[in-house]
Amino acid sequence: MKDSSSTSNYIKGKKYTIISVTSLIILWQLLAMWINSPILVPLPRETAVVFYNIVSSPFFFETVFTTFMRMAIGFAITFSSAVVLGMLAGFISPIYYLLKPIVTLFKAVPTMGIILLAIIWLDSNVAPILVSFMILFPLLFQNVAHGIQNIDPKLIEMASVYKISRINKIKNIYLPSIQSHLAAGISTAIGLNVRIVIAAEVLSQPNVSIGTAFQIARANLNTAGVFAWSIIAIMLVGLFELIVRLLRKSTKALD
Amino acid sequence: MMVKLQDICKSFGEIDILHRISLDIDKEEIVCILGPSGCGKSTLLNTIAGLINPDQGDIQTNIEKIGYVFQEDRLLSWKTVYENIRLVDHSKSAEVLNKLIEEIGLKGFENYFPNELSGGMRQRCSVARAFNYQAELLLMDEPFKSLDYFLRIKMLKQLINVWENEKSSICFVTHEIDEALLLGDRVIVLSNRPAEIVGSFKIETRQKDRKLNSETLVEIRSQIIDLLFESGNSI
Repeated sequence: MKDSSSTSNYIKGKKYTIISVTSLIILWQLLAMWINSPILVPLPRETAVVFYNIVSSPFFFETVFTTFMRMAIGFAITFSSAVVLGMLAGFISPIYYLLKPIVTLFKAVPTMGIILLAIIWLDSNVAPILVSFMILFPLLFQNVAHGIQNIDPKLIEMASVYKISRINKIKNIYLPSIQSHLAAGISTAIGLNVRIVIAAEVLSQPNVSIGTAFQIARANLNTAGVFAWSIIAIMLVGLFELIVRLLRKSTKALD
Repeated sequence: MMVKLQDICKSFGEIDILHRISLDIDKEEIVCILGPSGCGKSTLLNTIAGLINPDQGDIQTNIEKIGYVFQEDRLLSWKTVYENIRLVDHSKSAEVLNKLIEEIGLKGFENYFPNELSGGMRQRCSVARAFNYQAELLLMDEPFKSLDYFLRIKMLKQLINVWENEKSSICFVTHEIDEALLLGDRVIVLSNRPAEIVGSFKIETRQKDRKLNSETLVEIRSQIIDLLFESGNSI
């Protein structure tokens, strides 16, 4: 019963997604026809042709893979350091108060300022990774630290009465408790990561990257190309979310 | 003797909670602490559990494993009944755990999550978790408080069933006279706050053979009520 109702909800959800995407494409088509200037808004059909050309070009895989790896490395470094430091900060309040000003500083500096500083300090291939870290760290760190701080003290009291080992406490109480906080943070961070890594690439111009491809398309007034690369970026967000979902499933299976 | 409390006093700020409480709990004995709501019964259990320190007095104990069934079930909502019970001791075989689950009346609900269970079932799961820990002393803080009278009596009978096999010592806190009469080898009566021991009753009849309308229990019940009114209690 439960299964059939969740399947019907899933199908209903998909149906509305298709309606939403189709409406968006129709709106885009109407807007492009009304403006009638491919440099401002290209037609969906023109964008599809450019998209096909980009995807079938010999450099496509290398370009996407290189940017994807920058995003993945940036995300992995940020995620692992945010979980470790966030948990420490959640357990030990002096660490939280020591890290709080740094996190506030990361949050306060404008994204463009961080990108420019990263370009000054680092090689253009590595700069986007630092940008990713500086933007995503505060978000994930605070999710983890607040998750730990908000764990029901009664559960911790129960665990101490039953002398549950520290490792088992972390595995069975702390990690599952912060999971919901972290899940919300991860979902926001994935979209943000794709956007800021590409933004950093647009400015730092590494030899091979989606950002550089964006910049070349813009310089050639190839708006259809900018649209096509945007669609590729959206697909990257989807790919990231899929990978994270699979990783979560596999860790659950390991339990 | 497993636990010996000697002249325990505890205050929170200006409020005196426990006043010179002296109490022994013997091996395989069920001691019921009976007193009005808010008199300091939970504080007494928390002191025995080592969760709070007394201001004065001494606690002597030779036990290492204390289990605690709190007023709330304190189950992990992301774990199933089976996983919650197993949490406190991973060494038991599935067969042993399933037997315990059956005895406590949760057979068929092993894979349910706490939010899929009724309040009574969640408390049963909490009791099973405590028994799985194989504590030498089990502290129970009004575990069936939120249940109706008949369900409470049914739960007590299930508790007695499990206890007959496990035989750990139990210190059971309640404000219900019938619960204390059905369960305790000894019933200790506390006064209003600050809690003092105002009476102690030993019940020799085996738990399984007790009837609330038996002459002995009716007599003890009447004495307890008199004692509670004499000491200014109303429960």
